[in-house]
Amino acid sequence: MPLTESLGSMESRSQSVEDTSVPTEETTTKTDTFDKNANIDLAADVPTSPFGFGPYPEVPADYPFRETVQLWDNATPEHELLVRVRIKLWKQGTQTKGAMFDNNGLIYPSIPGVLYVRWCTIEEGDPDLVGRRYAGSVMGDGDTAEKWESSFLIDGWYEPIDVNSDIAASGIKVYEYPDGGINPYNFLELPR
Amino acid sequence: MKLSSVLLLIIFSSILFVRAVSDISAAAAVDGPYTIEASAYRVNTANVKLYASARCEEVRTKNGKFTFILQRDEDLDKQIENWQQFEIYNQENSHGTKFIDGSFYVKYKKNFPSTEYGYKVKSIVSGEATDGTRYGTSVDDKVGEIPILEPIPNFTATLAHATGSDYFATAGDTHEAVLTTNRSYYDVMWYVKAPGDTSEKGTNVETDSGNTLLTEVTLSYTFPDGVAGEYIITAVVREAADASTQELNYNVSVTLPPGLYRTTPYSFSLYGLGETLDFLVIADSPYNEVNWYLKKKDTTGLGTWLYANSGSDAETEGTFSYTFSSENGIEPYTDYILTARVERNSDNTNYNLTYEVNIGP
Repeated sequence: MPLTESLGSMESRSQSVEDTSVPTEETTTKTDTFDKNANIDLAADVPTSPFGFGPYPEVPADYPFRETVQLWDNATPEHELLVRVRIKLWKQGTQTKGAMFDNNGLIYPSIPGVLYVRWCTIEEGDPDLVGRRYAGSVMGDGDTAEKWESSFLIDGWYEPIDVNSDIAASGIKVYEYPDGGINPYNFLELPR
Repeated sequence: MKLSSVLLLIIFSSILFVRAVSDISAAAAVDGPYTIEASAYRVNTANVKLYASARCEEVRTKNGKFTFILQRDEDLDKQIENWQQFEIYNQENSHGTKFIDGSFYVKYKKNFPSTEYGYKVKSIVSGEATDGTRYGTSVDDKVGEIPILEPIPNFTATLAHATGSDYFATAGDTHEAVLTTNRSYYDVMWYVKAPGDTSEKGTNVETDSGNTLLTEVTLSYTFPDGVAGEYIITAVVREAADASTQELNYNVSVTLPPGLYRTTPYSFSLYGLGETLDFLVIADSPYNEVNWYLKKKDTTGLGTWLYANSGSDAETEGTFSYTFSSENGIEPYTDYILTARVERNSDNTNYNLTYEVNIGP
């Protein structure tokens, strides 16, 4: 299940999805202050993405580092997409702690209680270990990850094989990587 | 537009510009701390584990990223862009650059087969900006850690009494033997060889599986009542990776409880007329004399005196051998009581120890 669907079903995230591609209140107000007789090229003054992502969305008032973020000073397209996805999630009610843009082109938000885990199987070596699965990568919220690794994994590595592995009761949602990632272009409705 | 309006616009724009420069400077100041970790170690002769992790807190840079690289020692001088050639991760999609914003945790683990020794694994987890400047406050070096896989030592095991080197026990006591290994073991077979046992290692009393993860195991064994002498406790341990075995043992001197004299065995059943039986008395302190008497079971008193062991200051054992023959007046299908009367040296007290002998045809 895509992460965005999962998050949308949660009680605390009941706000409607906002299309962040439309001009924001801030940019609209700014353009209205110009004198029509000043002979200024209004289009050149509308803050837009240098990477072709269009006008910037409004940064929510309670968004972390709001003053810095709304400068929209990002060195790479990936960083601007990270910020845009986080802002849209924030407006939907999901207050992420951070996000990572992975090699696979998907963005993985850092949310307490949510992890992205890639399982690996030992295929060679010690016969007693061959076939065992271990968490080859764990991504997400740091506190959640450390709790999950210490309490769920055997020896901090191996998937339990003889105990109840249903950790839903612990309140941790584990996506099997690459599930749970957000395609930023689809999510933000941006053209490729 | 009036001149005053133009001036106001210029002033307002200047204020915005100054504010923007100020915020850019502030952007560097709000870069949060991050921590990086990396480690590699050998789990057994066949497998090596390594991991690398990065955790950042409230990082807000315009271009922050983490780069994960894991290399073998012969590759340490290669450039970052050559990481695809490296053996450990060349088949994995779990490395490279991750762009991050805010707080995030990434950890990569690898359990890979390796029987080589003595090489290094270099794990690099770096957080830096695309222009090469580093961010974060806790690390000023790109190398998280350089674990070294030392040449793996031979599999060794030690066996000892749980409470130390006091290898003495009393019959009836529970004894704990602790086996420790420098690497995980596959299983341990425990043997106990009791006094008089003529087999090589004695009886297999327990087998413990190490499940390839454990390096210590304890055997609890209770020495039987009334049996004194030298016991041998043996552990045969199989190493997890290559199933090589090591055998270790030690002796435990088992004595009888203080203040009592015991004998072993207690009874002799259905022996044929004419057979010769051996009897043994073991004392916990020297005796003056042991006198041996024989009577029919249904009679009173000690019976007929047969033999005496003369003691000394150090003698604690007395033996007696007797032939239950018709020449000695023994009757078939009759029960006899043999008594060893022991006079203890320390207090000149006599103790009677009896054996029941059942004679058959």
